[in-house]
Parts: sequence; structure tokens; C-alpha cells
Amino acid sequence: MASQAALDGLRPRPTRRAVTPRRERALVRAAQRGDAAALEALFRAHWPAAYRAAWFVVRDEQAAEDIAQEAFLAAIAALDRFDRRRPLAPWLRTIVARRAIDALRARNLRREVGDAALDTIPSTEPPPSAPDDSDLADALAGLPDDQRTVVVLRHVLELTPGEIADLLGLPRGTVNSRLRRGLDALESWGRSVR
Amino acid sequence: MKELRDLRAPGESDARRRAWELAAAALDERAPAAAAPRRPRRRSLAVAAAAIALLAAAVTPPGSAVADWLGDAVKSVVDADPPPRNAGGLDALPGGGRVLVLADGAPAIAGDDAKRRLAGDADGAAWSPHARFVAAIRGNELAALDLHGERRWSLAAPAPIERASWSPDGFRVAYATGAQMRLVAGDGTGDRVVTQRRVRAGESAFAGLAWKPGSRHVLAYVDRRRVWVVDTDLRRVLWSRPAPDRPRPEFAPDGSRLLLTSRADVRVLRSRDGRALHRLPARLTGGAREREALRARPGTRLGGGVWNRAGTAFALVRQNGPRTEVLVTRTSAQRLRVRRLFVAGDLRIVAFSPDDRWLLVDWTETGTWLFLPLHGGRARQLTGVARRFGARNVVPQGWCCPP
Repeated sequence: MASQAALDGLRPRPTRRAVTPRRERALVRAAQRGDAAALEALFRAHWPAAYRAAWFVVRDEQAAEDIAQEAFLAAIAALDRFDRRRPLAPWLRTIVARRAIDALRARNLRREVGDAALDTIPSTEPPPSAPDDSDLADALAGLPDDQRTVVVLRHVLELTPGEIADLLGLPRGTVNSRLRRGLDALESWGRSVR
Repeated sequence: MKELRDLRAPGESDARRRAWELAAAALDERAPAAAAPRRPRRRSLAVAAAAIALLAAAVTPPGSAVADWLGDAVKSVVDADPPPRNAGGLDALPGGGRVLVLADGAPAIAGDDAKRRLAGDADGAAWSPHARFVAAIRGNELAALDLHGERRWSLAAPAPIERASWSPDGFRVAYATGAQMRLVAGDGTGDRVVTQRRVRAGESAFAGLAWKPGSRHVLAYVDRRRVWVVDTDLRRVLWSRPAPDRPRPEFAPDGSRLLLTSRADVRVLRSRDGRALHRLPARLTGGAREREALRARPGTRLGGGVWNRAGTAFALVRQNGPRTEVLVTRTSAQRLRVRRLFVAGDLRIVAFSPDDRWLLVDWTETGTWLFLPLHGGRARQLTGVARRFGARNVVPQGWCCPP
């Protein structure tokens, strides 16, 4: 993939802790019995991608937190009914994707209150520790909504183009072309910083 | 595309901590039903009774009606229990966050190392979603105040305003005023009518209103005959159901269910279509000992009806003869499980704590706030609340989010 080369120069960050399908089934079983450690392992494995994907789609901390949080609470509420033969991650990621897309669409429809009124409580979030990543994050966040959404769904939530097409109600060809344009833009950014 | 997948997003660490606390609490809420082996019923009831007794003892002054009502069998436990733990002061509430009150009619805030009174008087007040603003109503006026008491905007309604509610995303404020249900943007612009009814002058058409959490601006309100759920963006009624007893509506935090609390019963409806999922009558009946303990006297009525933050349980008060019971009802797909948390003379539920571990109850006649633990441990009390605010009368309005 051409854009992969453009991004190769970035300093890699540690990947998510891998959870094999077998291990995940065991964790789901244990969580169904009320095992908090198992739930924590599932949380560690899946929450970061949920929050990051939500943030890069909606670009709003509070909304992203709500989306990721609601997805996990929905998962916990449905634990007893969950079919353990099915993997948890795709189900969870689809919830996140749906909610993030809904939030983005709703925001585009409505008028927002100016940010100036909401500055009375300063953020305690430390500055990003990896400048390279921050730049890439800025580049991704700067993509137009339609391109950014498909890039995030594809490469953060790891949904297939077919799944993305279903979620967005778009033809698969449109998804692929938006994905291509988004990745091309990131590739251009990658060349410019090298 | 590993780099994209591993990009950190702003606010991630704090959000992660909060999300895990909520997730763990949600698991705690459901764990006993799923994990605990079934014990003989007689023993579990005895354990429950002892737990109630311990809890009551932890927060009740000696000689109060609670011990009398629970009976001699548990009185020794009450007497043996250590005195109640003090909850500290107004600046460090169990469970964190900020409590909004009306102190002698003026909005005031406690918690988060702060206790402050906002300027001006109000008949009622409500938090904005993240506790950054207060919607204050006084007569015909609705105003948005910041935490320094500065008025960000205000408007004058055609009739006295009975209640107002900020949408969960902060972009709308709905308010009931005489014959009309109205809506204004979160910045005070775009004031418009949502719906109106015919009422006599001075009468109120609407009994309650609640926003549905989620991406759309869906509002539930109750008029004299029905509960209505409307999409205010599309200006379309989604559904309505008969509700002649004028219940108070509140949506579950995930938006999936609507709680309707009236004096006679509590109903849980599916938000999507209004289908009834559960009903809990004020006068529980049945032969089981647990139900016997919850049996009501004639004239018993319900109140409160607030969801916990995880949406796994709701709290009620039941005025049952001379005493008020605080009931916490855990919900599942199949049934409701009622647990009595506390009993005393005159109690009013305020809210669950931001971390979902405490239930704040206003014990009006003693001027005390009770913080009832939901996951074990001892209850805490904050006495002399009015004095701490430098006021004669303090009415809690809501408990909101950590900063």
C-alpha cells in the first residue's frame, strides 16, 4: 500500500495487547460469571481503539468518551445474552462505529454552542508525548469528514470496506474511493514531513 | 496501518479511567445475579434483613423509628453498631462531583473543593450536562448562569416556568411554561414552541419532561392524559401512550428505556416504541417474606425515580404511612429486583453519585444529607447542611459530573 510507505517513517508506538480469539472467549466466559479481572482484560484490549476511533470521527472528547463508554456499558449489559462462539471485538466495534457515525451526522445537522462559553474548566490532559504521532493525528483529524470517517473505520476499527459501506449506507465503490483519497492525502503529508 | 490504529486521541487517559470505573460498577451491579450460587431462601432473607439493619444503624440516630420498626430481633445489632461515619464537609463529597442546591432560594454549589453561592434568586435550577452551567428559573424567566454566577443569557417566557431541562449534549434546553412546552438552543437563541395545550390561566399543562440521551434531540413530556416522545429536530411525534396519572419521566442513561414514576406505580417502557417492559406497583403484594416486608399501607405512594449512571438500577422513595423507604430496583431483561436501602421519616432522593457508588438522599426533617453506599460499606451523613451553606433552607437540585 503506497500510503503505508509514507507512514513508515513515523516512530512506531506499542501495539495493543493482543487477545487471541480463544483467550477472548475465555475472558467473556469469566466476565459473564462476574470476574472483574476478565472484564478489565477485555477493557484494556478493546477500549483504546473504541475511544480513538470515536474521537477521530467526531473530534470531540466528551462525545468520544460517551460513545466508547456507551458501547462498553451496552456490552456489559448484554453479557448474559452474548453468544460466546462469536468474537466480541467486531460486535463492539460495530456499536462504536454506528454511534460515532450517528453523532457526526447529528452534529452536522444542528447548530452548536460556541466553544468560548465552555472554557471555565481547563483540561487536565497532558500534552501528547509523541510529536510525530501528534502530527499524524493532526493530519488525520484534518481530513474532510467523509474521508476521515472511512479511514478511521477501516484502519482504527479494522472494519472491512463492505461493513463500512453497510454502516454508511454507501456503495462499496464510494467507500473505496473515499478511502483512497484519504490515504493519498496522508501519504502527501508523510512525504512533506520526511 | 499500525500507526493509525495506535494514535492516541486527546483526553484518552482521563476518559479511560472514568470509563473503567463505570464498567467495573456496571459489572458489580450485574455480578451477584449471575455469579452468586443460590442459597436457601430463608438464609438469604435473614442476611438481607441483617444488612438492612446494619445500614439503618449506621446512619440513624439512636432511638429513632427505624430500630423500632425493624424489631427487637435486630435491635441488638443496631445498639452494637459504631456511630455513623461523618461524610466530611461540603467541599469533599463521597463520590465526587458537584451538588447544586437552592439555598434560601439562591443557586449554590458544593463539592470539588468549592462551596459557592451564585447571585440571584431562583424557583428551581438544573445542571447543564457537564456541570459547567446552571439553568435557573424564576417566575417567567429562564437564565443560564456560569459557575461564577455570571448570566450568560436569559429569556422571558409567556407564563411562569415550571421546569427546565438541559439536553444531554448541551445544545438544547426544554422548558414547560403554562400551556406550552418550549425549546431554546444551549446558547439562548432560537426559542420556539415544541407543543401546546389548552389550559386555564395559571394552570400548567405539563407534568414533566426528560431528554433522551443519544445523538438526536428526543424529548419526552407528560401532559394531562399521555406521555409523548418527540424528535425535536424533525418535529415529529415518535410515539405516545396513555399516562393519566401524570408520571415523572426519566430516560435511562443509554437511552434505551424510559422510566415513568407516578404515585401509584413505576413503569419501565422501551424508548424505541413505548412498549411496557416492567411495572412496579406502590402496593406490592404477595406471600413471600421479602414481599411481606415491602408491603404497603393504604395511601402508599411513590416518588423519586432516578436512574443510576450505568442504567442498571433506579432509586425510588415510597411514602408508606409515617415512614419513607428508599428502594433501589435493579433491572434486567426479565424482571425487577427491589432492595430496601433505608427507612426514616421524610426522605427525598436527589441523585446517584458521579461514580455510581452512592445515593444521595435528603433527610429533610433532620437537615441531613445521607450518602447511602450501593456496593457495601457504611453509609455516611452530613448534618447541619443548611448551616454549612449559611442558609435556613437548602433544597438539593442535582448532583453532577466530576470536572
